[in-house]
Amino acid sequence: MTCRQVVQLLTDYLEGALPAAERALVEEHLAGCDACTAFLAQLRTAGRVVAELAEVDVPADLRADLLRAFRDWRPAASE
Amino acid sequence: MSIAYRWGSGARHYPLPGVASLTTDPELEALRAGDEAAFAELLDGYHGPLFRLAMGHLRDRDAAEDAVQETWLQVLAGLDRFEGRSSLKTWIFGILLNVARSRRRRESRLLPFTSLFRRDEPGGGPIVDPDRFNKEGRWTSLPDNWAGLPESRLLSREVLGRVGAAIDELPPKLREVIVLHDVAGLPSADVAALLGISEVNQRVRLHRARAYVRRVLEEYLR
Repeated sequence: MTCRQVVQLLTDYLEGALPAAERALVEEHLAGCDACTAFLAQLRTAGRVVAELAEVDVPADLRADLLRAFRDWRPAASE
Repeated sequence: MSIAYRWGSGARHYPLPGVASLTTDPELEALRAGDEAAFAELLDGYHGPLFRLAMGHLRDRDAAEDAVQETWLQVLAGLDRFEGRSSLKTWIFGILLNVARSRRRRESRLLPFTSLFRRDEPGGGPIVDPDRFNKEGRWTSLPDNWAGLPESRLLSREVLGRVGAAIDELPPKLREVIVLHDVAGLPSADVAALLGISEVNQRVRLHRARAYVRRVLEEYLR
């Protein structure tokens, strides 16, 4: 397997979606290839940065409106 | 879990009629019991990905916030009828997608709409620049090692801003997948079901989207 082929498979690899035989070939390649290992690490890091985008504060007025809507929706329970 | 995903491909709507509840989800029970703290936790936890998905369709902060608000109101309106065929989280994101898409359709006269893969648009070209490989298909130079970068740099406001912008540049087909999977953290099977695509196709799109983000980061961090 060449580096050019391996980079095509790395999302499937990270997602655990490769058939066992192909997974073994990718792992064998990675074990002997610093460049593909570095590329895989970059993909992982990129994923971590993307996940960080989840951290956004709800604007205060929207949050207050929605909490009020929740209380109106189920008034009995909040008493 | 697998029973929750027995939706036909192309299914875009959440609860199917006539089926008894398949799961008892403590989060769901808390909401139904009127637990405001549980609701606040969902609002806070899902706002980032909900807002980004809405922005991707509507391209306007106020319109996106309105879509998020409508989503939560629809969640409340539907909560007692929600049957747990998907997770609560997946159901909520499905509602947002429907709200944002129908609002975009209403405004589509005003917005450019590109949904086809094109080589010249973000995420449309090769996963890695072909010049990075030699004739034998080996790397000609080592990709940069980011392990030495401090977290404060990697997760700085400017890097996050650049990565957010890169995701916003992606065509909708790629953007929806990376936001649902990597920002919202939904499992692949749920993302595929929500978008009405196969899991294979879901991973192809995810791979393109991640590769684009990686490339943008590589240029930015160099």
